[in-house]
Amino acid sequence: MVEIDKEKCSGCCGCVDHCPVAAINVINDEVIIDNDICMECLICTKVCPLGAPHEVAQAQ
Amino acid sequence: MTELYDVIIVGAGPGGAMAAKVAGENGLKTALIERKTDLSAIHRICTMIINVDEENFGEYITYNYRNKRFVFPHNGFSVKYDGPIRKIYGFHIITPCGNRFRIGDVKEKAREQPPVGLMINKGYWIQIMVDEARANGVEIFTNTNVNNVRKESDCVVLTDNRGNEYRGTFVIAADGVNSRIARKLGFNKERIFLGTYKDYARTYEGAKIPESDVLMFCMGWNTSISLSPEITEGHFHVSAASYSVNADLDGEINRFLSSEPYVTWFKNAKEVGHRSSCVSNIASPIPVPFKDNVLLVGDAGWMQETSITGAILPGWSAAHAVTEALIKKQPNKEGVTTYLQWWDKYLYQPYGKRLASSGSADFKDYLSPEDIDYLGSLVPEPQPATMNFFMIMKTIGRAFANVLPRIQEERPDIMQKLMAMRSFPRELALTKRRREGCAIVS
Repeated sequence: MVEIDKEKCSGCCGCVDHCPVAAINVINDEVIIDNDICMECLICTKVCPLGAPHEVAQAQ
Repeated sequence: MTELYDVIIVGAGPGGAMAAKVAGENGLKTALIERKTDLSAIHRICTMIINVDEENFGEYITYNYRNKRFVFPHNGFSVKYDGPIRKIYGFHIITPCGNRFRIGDVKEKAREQPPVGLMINKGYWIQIMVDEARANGVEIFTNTNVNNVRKESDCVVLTDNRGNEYRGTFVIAADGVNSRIARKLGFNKERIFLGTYKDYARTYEGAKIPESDVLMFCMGWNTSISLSPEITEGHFHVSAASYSVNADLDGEINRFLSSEPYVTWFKNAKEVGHRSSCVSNIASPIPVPFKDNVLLVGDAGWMQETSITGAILPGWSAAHAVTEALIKKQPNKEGVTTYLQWWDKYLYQPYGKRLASSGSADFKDYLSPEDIDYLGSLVPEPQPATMNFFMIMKTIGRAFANVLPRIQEERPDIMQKLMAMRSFPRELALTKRRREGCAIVS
């Protein structure tokens, strides 16, 4: 699954815009990923200039 | 059944805020939807400059310091702005060793030459326009992400991230360069993908930069490096940008800041604030910014950087066109003809067509940093000031056309590289951009 590192995130919303399934939204001024919708295409990890979204092992 | 708005505007940037203000003043039942809660917070990289006292998209914006209003005399309106202002005198290209190609002179005549750009607090200006919109009855929905759009027989339906629906006779999409609405309506299938532009910036205070009241574009690095003053006195941002999603932007800023003369400029500087960034899916401008009663304004229908002027003007024009369509009871494409004509006349014909055929070889694939230093030494005299992007391009072309015979004589090797770069097939350049980028089409 994909997580967003809040420390690195600038809030520019590049990943929000690029997500093909709208799994990433701005909620209370924070960029939040919904892993129930995410299909792990990883476009967000490619486009982020700050490397904030990253793939992590599936939580058990 | 949810209520029906005359117009719903998506995105509270300069274009959307302007459209909302105008729609409200015209008495339309209007909604403005924005995903942020704090409209004045700007997280994306932006130079926040308004080009003044020269032509831009058919307009000649000027600032009335007495009444604190930006005035748009050609179109006949003005907008309040009483926030801070910083004067910007032009655009300089700096080569690795520090040679400058100057468009606008700050060294000699800063006091004689008027500024061509006014740097503003964009977030504050947006807040002013949105407050005026609200005072005119516009409903503002913040913290709301518009994720889908569909056309029904008599309205456009938008869906947000919570599944709520909003119905409008018209929609004005001001959702930016990566517009999801443009994509959902199928515009991107007809556009040429020109690359993914990734940009990242740090802010420093305490840097000592010569001739700094200009935008500084540094050539000869592995990425594009820009230096720009910020509205806060003594603050500068340094940004690195590239068409390759794999470029090491962070590393390139470090390399830049540890090379002379820049290491001296930043000797006593320290990084402040939050890092900012931006990533743009760049596709060719849209010739007709209308489909299914949705009007695109600003970057949503463009590719990158129509700048604030290029957002405010279509926002203004689109909101008036929608008003006219509703009065004439023509809630369709014919109803908003004035906007489509405006877009064609001032954006698409003069600039959009040309941008649609852009895409060429990268300088860095042909010219070494030393070659760029040489080219940067050829035109020492400052060129007439402008902040108009298209005029900047024209000025560069004109100045270097004049020195081509000299390059041929002194450095035939560089001349050969320039010629090879020029004849690089566009299709190959675009293939490279596709390979190194990340297109979003569907």
